Amino acid sequence: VTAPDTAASTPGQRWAAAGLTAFGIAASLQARALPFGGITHPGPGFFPLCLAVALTLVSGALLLVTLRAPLAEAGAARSRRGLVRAAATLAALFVYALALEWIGFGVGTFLLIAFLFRAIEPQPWPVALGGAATTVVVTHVLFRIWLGVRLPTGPWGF
Amino acid sequence: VLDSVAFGFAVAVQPLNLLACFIGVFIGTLIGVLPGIGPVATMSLLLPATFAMSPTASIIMMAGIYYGAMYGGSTTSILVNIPGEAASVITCLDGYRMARQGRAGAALGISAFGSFIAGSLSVLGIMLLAPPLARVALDFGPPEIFALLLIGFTMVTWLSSGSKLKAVAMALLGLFLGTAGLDPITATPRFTFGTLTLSDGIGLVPMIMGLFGIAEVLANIEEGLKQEVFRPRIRGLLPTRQDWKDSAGPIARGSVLGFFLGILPGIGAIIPTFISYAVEKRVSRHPEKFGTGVIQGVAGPEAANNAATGGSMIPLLTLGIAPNVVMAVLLGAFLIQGVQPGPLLIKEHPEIFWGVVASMYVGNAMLLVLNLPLIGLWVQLLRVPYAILFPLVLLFSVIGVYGVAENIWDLVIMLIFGAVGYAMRRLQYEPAPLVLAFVLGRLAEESIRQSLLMSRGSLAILVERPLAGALLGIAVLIMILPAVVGRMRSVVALTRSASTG
Repeated sequence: VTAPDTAASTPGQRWAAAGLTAFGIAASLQARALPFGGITHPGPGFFPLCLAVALTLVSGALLLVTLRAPLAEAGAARSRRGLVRAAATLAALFVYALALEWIGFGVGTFLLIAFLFRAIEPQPWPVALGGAATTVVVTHVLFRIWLGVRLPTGPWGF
Repeated sequence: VLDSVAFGFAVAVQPLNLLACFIGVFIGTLIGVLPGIGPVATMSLLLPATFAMSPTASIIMMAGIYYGAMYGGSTTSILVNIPGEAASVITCLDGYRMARQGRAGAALGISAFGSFIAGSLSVLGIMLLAPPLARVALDFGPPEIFALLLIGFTMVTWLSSGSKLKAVAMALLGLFLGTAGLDPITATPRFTFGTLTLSDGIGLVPMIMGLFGIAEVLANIEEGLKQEVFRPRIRGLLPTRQDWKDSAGPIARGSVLGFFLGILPGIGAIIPTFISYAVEKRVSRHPEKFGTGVIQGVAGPEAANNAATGGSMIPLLTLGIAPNVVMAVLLGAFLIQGVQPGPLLIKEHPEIFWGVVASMYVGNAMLLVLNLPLIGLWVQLLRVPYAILFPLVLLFSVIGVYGVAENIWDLVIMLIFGAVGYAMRRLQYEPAPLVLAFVLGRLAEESIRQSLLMSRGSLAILVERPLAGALLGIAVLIMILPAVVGRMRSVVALTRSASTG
């Protein structure tokens, strides 16, 4: 549920509106490079350019609204640890995704699940390692064997 | 119609179609129960499995997954306070409170019965409305389609519960992101940055999984994984007479609301649940009790989301337009089988149309029979602590996205949208307008460009054709209605204060 337009804004909301405006401007510049055509024969750039300009205008208005609204009083501070955990999970997933084809589904998934079990919401080592190994076996059987999903194999063949 | 319905049931009860229906509703319930895995990802994952099936069986199974997920989603909302499916978010408010008060059985029971009643009514609605609508749909050209989509965009932005500016910005962003890939008319690459992955456009499944699945898990992780696993004793699944008395109105209103809202493009099953909850709160004599565990807060939204699944089938079956993301995947299942849904579907493939519609009734009955005894099994599944569950949810999301095209970059796109979705939650931006505009954007572009080509650049074509003009009028009405109502209310308030002063 979002706040109404007149509510106080946080610095994050101001940055978000500024970011959206910047995205709109960049999108407009990119869309300008495409053939625009004309109103009688709209080209590939017609719709994207119209949308990008509209996005810039709406985001700009949003930025103005957030800047004019009173700055929200600092509420209960969010848990820094919670943020770090979420960021670490996302980073681990990015590394996993980018390394998956090099190291294969089996090894990559074992490392990812062991990391998530052990580092994000710490479980004892046997639970983390046993859980990771079980997950690899179950997903291998379920997805690779039963459903025939072609998962990356890596140099070890699994 | 009666002959056609009888024919549909004859098709639906053929052994293979019955089996497909059972598999669909069972898998649907399972993924509805499990948080983070929604019907879109599951249906996408199972698309290749439908190659070997008949067109009727494959569509029956896919549809079963969708409405089965609506049943399953409420179980997790009620027992664990985590929506198993996005359309069950609102059920958490009162369903979980009821469970805490020892009324988990009543909440689960009324949810199942309400879903069955709403699902059955929506099937009846399809049977009565789809054939005449299909005849009207034959008159739909690009201007009418664009005007219809405009209604969808207007609904999704103006029905958003908070900042309208943010909702409009998200819808525009969704439309813009939908333009990436090859131009639909000239095949010119747009915003592909020379990559093969983007030449097909941004994948729908990675985007959805990122914005909803990954973002949800990240938010839960940030909050410290404190979603406790409630261990209620499930008793009394059959609602009492008082429960029925309290729920009859909400179920009836939720069914009608969900069905008709579900027909509109851009609405889906989520928005009707919020509107149903708001309506029930508005008509209740004790609105202050909502959120504390009242059965009306469960019955109305659960009926609405099931009725919406039926309603959303109508634009797909009669116009060939996917009104929401799940229907887009179902459209893919139709196309894989070489069947084009649209105005001619009833005439050219009556066995698919009537078979699928009748199977939805059979599937709803299966779900009721299946779910009451299986509640215990779902509860066992939910007793897995979230600290153990979340890595598995993330992994299933990864496999689901990778399995669609076996492309690592789809995973990267999913994670980027996961990060964006997480930030959007924190900054109070709603993802629904973005996703729905993204889904409908390509069709909107095609239809407006074709309209301009037809009219040699005159936008008047959108108002000169009667059907397009009427649809455009509805869109404008939806746009200005909140302002007019607000203005009228303030005038009435001023008049009252002047007369009392």
